[in-house]
Amino acid sequence: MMARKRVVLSILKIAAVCAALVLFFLLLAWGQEHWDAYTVRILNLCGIYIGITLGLNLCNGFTGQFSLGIAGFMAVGAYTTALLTMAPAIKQAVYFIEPLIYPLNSIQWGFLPSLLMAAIVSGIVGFLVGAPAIRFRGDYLAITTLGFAEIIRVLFTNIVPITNGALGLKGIPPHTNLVWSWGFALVCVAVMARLMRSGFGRALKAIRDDEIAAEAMGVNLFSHKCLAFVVSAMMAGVGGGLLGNLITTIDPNMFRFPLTFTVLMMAVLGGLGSITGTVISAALVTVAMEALRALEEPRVIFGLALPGIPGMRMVVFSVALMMVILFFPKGFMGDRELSLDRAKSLATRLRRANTSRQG
Amino acid sequence: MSDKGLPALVCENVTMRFGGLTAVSEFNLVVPEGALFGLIGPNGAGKTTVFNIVSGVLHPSAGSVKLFGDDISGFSPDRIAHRGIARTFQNIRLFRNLTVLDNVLVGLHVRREANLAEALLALPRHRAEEARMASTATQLLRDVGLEDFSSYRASALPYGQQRRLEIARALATGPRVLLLDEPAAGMNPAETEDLMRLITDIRERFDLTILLIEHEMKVVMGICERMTVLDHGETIAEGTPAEIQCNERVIKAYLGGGVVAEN
Amino acid sequence: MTMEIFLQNMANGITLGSLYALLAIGYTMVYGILRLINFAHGEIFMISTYFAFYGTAIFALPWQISFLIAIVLTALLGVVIERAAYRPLRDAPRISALISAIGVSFLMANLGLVIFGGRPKTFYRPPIFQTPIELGGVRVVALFFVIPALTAILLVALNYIVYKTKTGLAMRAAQWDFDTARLMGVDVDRAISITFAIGSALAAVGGIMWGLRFAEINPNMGLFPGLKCFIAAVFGGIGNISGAVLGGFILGFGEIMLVAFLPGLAGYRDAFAFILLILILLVRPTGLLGDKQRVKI
Repeated sequence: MMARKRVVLSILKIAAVCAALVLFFLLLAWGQEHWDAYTVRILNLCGIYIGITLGLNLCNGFTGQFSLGIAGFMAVGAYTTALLTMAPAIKQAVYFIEPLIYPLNSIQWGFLPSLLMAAIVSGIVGFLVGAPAIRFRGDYLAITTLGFAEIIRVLFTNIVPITNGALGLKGIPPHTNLVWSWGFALVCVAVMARLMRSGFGRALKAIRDDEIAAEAMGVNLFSHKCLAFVVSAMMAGVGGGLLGNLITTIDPNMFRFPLTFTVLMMAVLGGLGSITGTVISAALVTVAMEALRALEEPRVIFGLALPGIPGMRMVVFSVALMMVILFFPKGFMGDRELSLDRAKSLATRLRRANTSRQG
Repeated sequence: MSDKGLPALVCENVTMRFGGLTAVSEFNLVVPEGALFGLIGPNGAGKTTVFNIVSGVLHPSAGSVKLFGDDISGFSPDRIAHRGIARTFQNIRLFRNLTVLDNVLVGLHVRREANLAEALLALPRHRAEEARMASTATQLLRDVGLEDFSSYRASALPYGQQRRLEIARALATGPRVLLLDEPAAGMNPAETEDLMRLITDIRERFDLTILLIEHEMKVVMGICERMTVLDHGETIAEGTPAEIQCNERVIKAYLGGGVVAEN
Repeated sequence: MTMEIFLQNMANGITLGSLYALLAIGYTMVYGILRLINFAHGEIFMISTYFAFYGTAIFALPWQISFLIAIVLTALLGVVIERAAYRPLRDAPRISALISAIGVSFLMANLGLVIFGGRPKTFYRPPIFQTPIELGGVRVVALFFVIPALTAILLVALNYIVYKTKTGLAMRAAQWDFDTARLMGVDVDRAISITFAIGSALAAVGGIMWGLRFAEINPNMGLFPGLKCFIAAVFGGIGNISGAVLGGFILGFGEIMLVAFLPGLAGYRDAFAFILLILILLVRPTGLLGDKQRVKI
């Protein structure tokens, strides 16, 4: 009797989740057509940055491998997707200094296979960067991965027949829409949640807490750190691809250290080691980034002409980051998660506290 | 088992040099299967270095380590854990931010069968394995008396219980040989009593060979059947507790009048 | 390549190497004592040039006084940054301190953008440094001699402070172990402050000479020269002052020579330092002159 009830319940639960997902994506598909362009753009960025920040958090937060190479992996993904989705005619027009090499100049793939390819290519690059780099610890890993990202950027600036050099790519088809970007975010959340509930995730967290003990308990450091690095790079790569096909123009200088800083800030504010914290923080910071853009544009308030102040936005965010790291070193969520169970237990505790106060 | 009769652990002429310093020199050790073997010596004698060599943290400058006849010297720590040696640490090294249960589950991760894809897709084999692992881990926690704390953060446990958790975590890897590095350090007499019972108990229950480093004489003399005494990286004596207690060299090098009187 | 161009490249290499060395010392000293990459060091260097710039351009001070004030202010800035952003995190995980350092770096770069404006400023160059000097048929300006000479003098002075004075002894003691140093009566906080003051002052000297050499300053000039100099410090062996100088010279020379002899690779100049870093870490993680460090288990 009980067993049957449980089966029915779990089927109901799955059905409810599926229904919610379908509704969510229907809403997004509808919104893509009916919401204003500004809102749609910000929401797209939210979805994309949620996925990318989760990737960074997997490596930096959950596994404790503090890497600063995320911008490099985003660049790899963005260029891969752009090169595969652009129409041959446009490529010919864009590459006017040196023509694009064969076969890239004559192919055009659909968006999904291009994104998958971006995942594979950035995953491979992630492995090539990670395999030598994970031998280093702490700040040495940070500076080496930052170096790798810089090397990637310099390569992209110089290998003109593939990347069109410093000019970058223009006319990338605007394939990215709300369904794609939030679909990506959701896949990343699901992968992270599944991973962290498995032995693999526990092994990664064990490495974060104590590498030597983890190894003594039979955790292979190389393969597990590579796992974190590669999955992280794949998420960044797909995110980069979505970003490129959202803004339709990319060049190597977009993928410099400030981009890594932005993603890192999202992860730190939300809590290194929290999935829900990352989701909330990435969304909030993305919105704030766009909202604070106003600070940098000249405008008129009550007839008073205020000049825009370039750099003000990053001042605000740097201060926010400093405040969090100095006063709440674990971010909003630390390594805890927001979940229904947690909310329920909090509610009961509150209720209990209330009744005891009344009684 | 085919390797019945072979000693569980053998160190042959193991030497460890750090630059000009020889931490362990020509160390020999034979631990029979099922033994509870002590490794004692004054501070800086090289005991922990021996543990680090056996568990693969350090690679010996010379000599070899054999586990049931197989040469494992130069293996990485995780490979050695797979082969069946588990250890605890002198200065506790738990996964501080993981729960007590998760600490044990990490130990069980070595023996997993489901692969990453199965884990990500939550396929039946992975689910069954997770359920099995959870119940094994709970049982292990019960064995060391920590079942009530399974959802605590490891760092929240009191010191003595952290040492017990380290033992449970080591047991989770399914070892044939267990290395305990000063398990009674920092414990009060009552806790030490409990610990001694626990050690003899797990040896029976898990069919283990145990090698133990200890400072607390009561523990070593009370439960070890044989022991080796190290001083300045060299073996100065080997034998039963009774033999060691009246060995002149040992008394001179290490025990001193006060500690002997305690026994 | 004519002799003249070769000598010109040599001069360029020596000056750039000197500048890198001055910055690298700050990184190596801070890393030695706090085990922290002071990401903000590059921005300290950048701000020092603005201090000097405002002294001469806005307050119309004589350049000698203006440069001196800039050095003092920069040293103070370094001390303040340590107090505000690193000291509260001294017992936190090292990664928190690193994030804080990255935060300070971005804060200062962007504050620089807000306060100084994004457009590059022209640094005042006293004519005395532009006096042409003829040497073996090649004419170079005095600055090319001033920079390495000043660097050498500062190095001698620094070595004296670190190895011959009580303050230096305190700094070296703190490098090994805070607690032991404290037990020996060393004021660790003071030693760290002095380390930051010296490192920042040297960065300021480097910054001012950078201004004299390249004439243009902007708020973004800190990050990458900074990172390169950190790499120079790692290359030479982190924590080791002579190593930092050696690394700085190798890096400065290497960059100039790469561009001079292999102009086809000039585009890869910015990657050169990082490639060097990765190679040295893989082959000899302790750097050229560094000591081995072990983790206790």
